[in-house]
Amino acid sequence: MEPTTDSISVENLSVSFKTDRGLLKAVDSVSFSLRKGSILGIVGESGSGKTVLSRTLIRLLPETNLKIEGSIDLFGIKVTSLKQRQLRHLYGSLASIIFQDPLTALNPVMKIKKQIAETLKVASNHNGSNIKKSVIDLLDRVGIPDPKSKSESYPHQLSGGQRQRVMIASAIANSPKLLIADEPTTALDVTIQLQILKLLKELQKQNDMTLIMVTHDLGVVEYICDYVAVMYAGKIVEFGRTEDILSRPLMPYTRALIDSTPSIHRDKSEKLMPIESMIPDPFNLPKGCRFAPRCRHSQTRCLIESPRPTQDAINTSHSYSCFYPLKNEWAVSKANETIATSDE
Amino acid sequence: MTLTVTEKPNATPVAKRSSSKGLGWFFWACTFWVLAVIILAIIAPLLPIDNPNKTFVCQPFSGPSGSHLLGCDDLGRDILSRIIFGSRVSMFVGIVSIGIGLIIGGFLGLISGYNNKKLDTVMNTIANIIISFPTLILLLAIVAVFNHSLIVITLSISFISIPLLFRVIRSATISVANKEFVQAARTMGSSRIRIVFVEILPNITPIIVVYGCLGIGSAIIAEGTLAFLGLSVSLPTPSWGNMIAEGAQSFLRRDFLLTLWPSIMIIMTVVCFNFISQRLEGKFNSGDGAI
Repeated sequence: MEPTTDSISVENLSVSFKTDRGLLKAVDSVSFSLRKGSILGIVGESGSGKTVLSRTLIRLLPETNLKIEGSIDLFGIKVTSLKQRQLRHLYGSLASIIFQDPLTALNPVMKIKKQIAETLKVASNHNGSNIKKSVIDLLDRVGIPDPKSKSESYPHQLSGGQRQRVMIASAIANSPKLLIADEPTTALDVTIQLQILKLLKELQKQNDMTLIMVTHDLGVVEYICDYVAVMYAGKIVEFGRTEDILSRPLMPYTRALIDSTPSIHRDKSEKLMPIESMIPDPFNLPKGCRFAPRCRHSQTRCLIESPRPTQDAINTSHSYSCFYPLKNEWAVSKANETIATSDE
Repeated sequence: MTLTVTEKPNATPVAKRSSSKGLGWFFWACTFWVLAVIILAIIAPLLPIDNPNKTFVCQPFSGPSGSHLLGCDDLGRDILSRIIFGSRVSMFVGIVSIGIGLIIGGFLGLISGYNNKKLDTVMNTIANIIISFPTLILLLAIVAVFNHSLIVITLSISFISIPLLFRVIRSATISVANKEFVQAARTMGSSRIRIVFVEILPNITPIIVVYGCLGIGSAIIAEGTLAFLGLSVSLPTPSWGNMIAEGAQSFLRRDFLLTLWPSIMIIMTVVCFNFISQRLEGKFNSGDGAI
């Protein structure tokens, strides 16, 4: 499978699970596109569908009780129309994934070098001694100290950070065009998190990879991502450049996410603002805007009609799904917020 | 400093004890017994013992003596020699039938466990149907239709073991197939065959070993049962089951030793296999990194 275009585009993608209680729509008509070589962060609460979305991009979910609608185009390859047996050719050199917990993602009874060699063998343009050298090169590239002797260890003999590095090494072994990282730093120590992010950023630049980071950590997003997609209850509610979204969020949900994240730069007088109540039951979604019941700015219209993704008039790369977007200026939105709270 | 000096000599014996405690002396005794029986079975023709079918090498029903350690049977054949040659049948049937069962059942279990629902359902249903037949009657039917040669008996026991081993290995495969590293292997482009045999199989070897040992014990009993019913290898070829049958059916009152010796052999061997299996299972379950 040869890539023909330079971008990823997802159109009207819906993913539903057939369950005993009926169809569960985990991802609901999501559309976005992404240029090659950029880093997209998908953020959202647990249950917002970010993992399902990211895994569907490469059709990794077991498809027995799954329904995928819409289209996914990875560099010119229509992923949604591939047959199950063709999928294998998608993986490795075109797309690859890093999982959250590196201990469970590595085979416990296989030496590190064999795990990476297995991946290299799939690409088949390697022979015996070549592979050995490539494995050590890869381990060196991901920053494993003394790669030669470490390649002889089993996963349980490595530290958490090293395991994640090994995972990354085998994910990038065949230089994929798209790398999906599903909360790659969540299971790690904070000091290691930064190292792993740096490594990912560096490798992304070197290989000109497209990186999709699934995370709920806005700090990670700020540090590494060019674009952000904010997901809520299966929909992308806001999409745009990281700096736009983090400094001038238009959708109240994004704003609430930012307000509920502690920051070291935050004023002591500012309190963390929790988002009230829970993400809605996927079998019983609100009729209008899905965030409306929890939204402090919601009005009658929000409860009846569901907003469509709208492009920001000034900044066309920024889109949001909201009838009453927050005012663009940070200061103004802050002022509004104080008014809104005093009104309540 | 003094603390470390006093700590160190204490630390090693504790560590040593706990590691040797891992399997225990009884496990090694059982392993020794099993290996001894297997080796004696293999080298039986080279041993300085009488031909097991030669009659009147000693007085019939003469008890244990210096030249005939376990005494002689009704036709004056050396019981020790018959037991050693008899072990060849039991061991062959036990190991070969379970070996075949593991190869076929294991292969099908791996394929079925890591595959789409349809194939899995079909194979599981077939296994369930075979399992629902009464084992002994199925065995008798197979032996009656064909003949009671060693090969037929081995194959029929392996036929019965296939669905049982299939189910064990299938469920083990499913539990490993759902682990993240299998998914990771998929995303790196490994083929299904490669995933099954390179990623999953090494992770379920402990289960294969445990159920293999358990299966051998059961297969030996199955052969003994057939022999007791006169449906194992034909006389005068000795097998433990044959010897028990002969001794128990005709001469139990006159000389119970004829029945006792082969019974002890079967019981000890089967108990040893079961214990090895149980001990290994405990070991595999407690060890880190094991399933």
